[in-house]
Amino acid sequence: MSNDRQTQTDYFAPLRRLITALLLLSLFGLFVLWRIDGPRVEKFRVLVIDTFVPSFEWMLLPMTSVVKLAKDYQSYEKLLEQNKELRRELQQMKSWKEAALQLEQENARLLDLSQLRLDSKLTHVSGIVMADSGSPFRQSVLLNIGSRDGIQDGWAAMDGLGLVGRISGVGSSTSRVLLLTDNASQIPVILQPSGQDAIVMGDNSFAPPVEFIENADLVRPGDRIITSGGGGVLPAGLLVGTLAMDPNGRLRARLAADYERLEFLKVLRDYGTEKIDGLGSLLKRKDSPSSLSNFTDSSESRDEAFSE
Amino acid sequence: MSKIPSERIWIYRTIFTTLSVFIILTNLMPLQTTPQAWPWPNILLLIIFCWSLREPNFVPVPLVTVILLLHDLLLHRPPGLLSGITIIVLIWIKIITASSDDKSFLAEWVRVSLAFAAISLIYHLLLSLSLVTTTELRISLIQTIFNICIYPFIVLVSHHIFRVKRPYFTRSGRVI
Repeated sequence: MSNDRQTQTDYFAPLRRLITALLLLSLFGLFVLWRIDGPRVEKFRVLVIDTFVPSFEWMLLPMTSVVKLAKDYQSYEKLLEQNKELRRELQQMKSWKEAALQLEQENARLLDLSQLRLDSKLTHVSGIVMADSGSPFRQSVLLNIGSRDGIQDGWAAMDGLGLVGRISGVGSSTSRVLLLTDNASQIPVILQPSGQDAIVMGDNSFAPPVEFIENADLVRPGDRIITSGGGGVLPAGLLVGTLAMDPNGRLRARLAADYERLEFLKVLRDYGTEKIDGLGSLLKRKDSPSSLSNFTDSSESRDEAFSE
Repeated sequence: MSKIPSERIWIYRTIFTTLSVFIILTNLMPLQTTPQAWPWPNILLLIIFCWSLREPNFVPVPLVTVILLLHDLLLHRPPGLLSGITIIVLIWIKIITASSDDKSFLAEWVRVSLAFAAISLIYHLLLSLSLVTTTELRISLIQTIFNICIYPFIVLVSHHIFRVKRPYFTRSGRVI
């Protein structure tokens, strides 16, 4: 009996070794392919995610809400403290509300005077956060809206208040939002009120550093950070957060969006501003083409760097 | 060789697959939307090593490959690299364990610890060699240490709850 078994396994052993070798070869082959032709393999990844995750949504959603319920229960212990704090905040909010109302009325009057019509394209699609990146190394979330809802790569995702990230990877019914805290996230911003250009570069920490400030003397902690729309990366004027200085004297962005509770995100439809192709024949000067083409080249390469 | 009835093998393969999918789903739950300072241990890796060293038939290499590749794809890692390294190290550990005389758990733990460290280091080495922007080595090392610390618990759970036992645990000296 056992002899039979033995011979059988011996018979299968070379086959098994061959299969293992083939599997290993295909795994490393996939990695090399990913290195050479990233976008195609990433498309395959989006396809896998798009088929796998929604089919387990029925399990994922209840599981998540149960864990969240348990977490919320822990916070009930501090209810009294929280209540006091909320009352205090509410008091402050009331004064802000009053100010906002007055501004709103003024704004409406001015809009009426100037007969301004807001761009009808500036609308948004809301999505539910289905999953996160799953590992501590990447910072992204998966939304339950995708190309069938008209989502496109590069659009801005916001929570109620501030920018959360941008779409990177769209499946038919899911799309991935690369958060501002991810290593790969780099967003061109303007610091207000000084108007300095800078870039918010995610580094896998809670408050991403703000780099490449033109003149760091002009900015100070507490300045507002909004997107600049540079390089056509994101629509301009979205709130990112406020500037803060960490103990090492490095400037970082304190993000306005509440990253602790990302449940719903709104994705802003953004079809981009029209590009001016070529040099206007009227504006073209004999000595300038080289510098102008340099400029367009660099902006294109910046685009590529951001889409990475 | 083992004489486990094939129904049992297939039941355990199903259990392993279900468990893996469940672990991947718990990883994906949108609870860690902020950067975490302390990473969770990689339970999937622990179960694969623990079961492979006890009942290799329950976790055949092709199945492990598929699960690991799925894990790579869903967790946005470079596809294939970590899976490939893991499988090579896994096979290497299985060969070493089979040829070794020391069948104690302590020896196994040491071997598995070395395997986890090797996987993490080779992974980072290859990533930096292929010029991929590497994820933080610090988090990865902390995770490896967590993995090593948690391994005995996974072994206990496998032994008592899932009844995946080492062949050389039997008293009679007979290897089942």
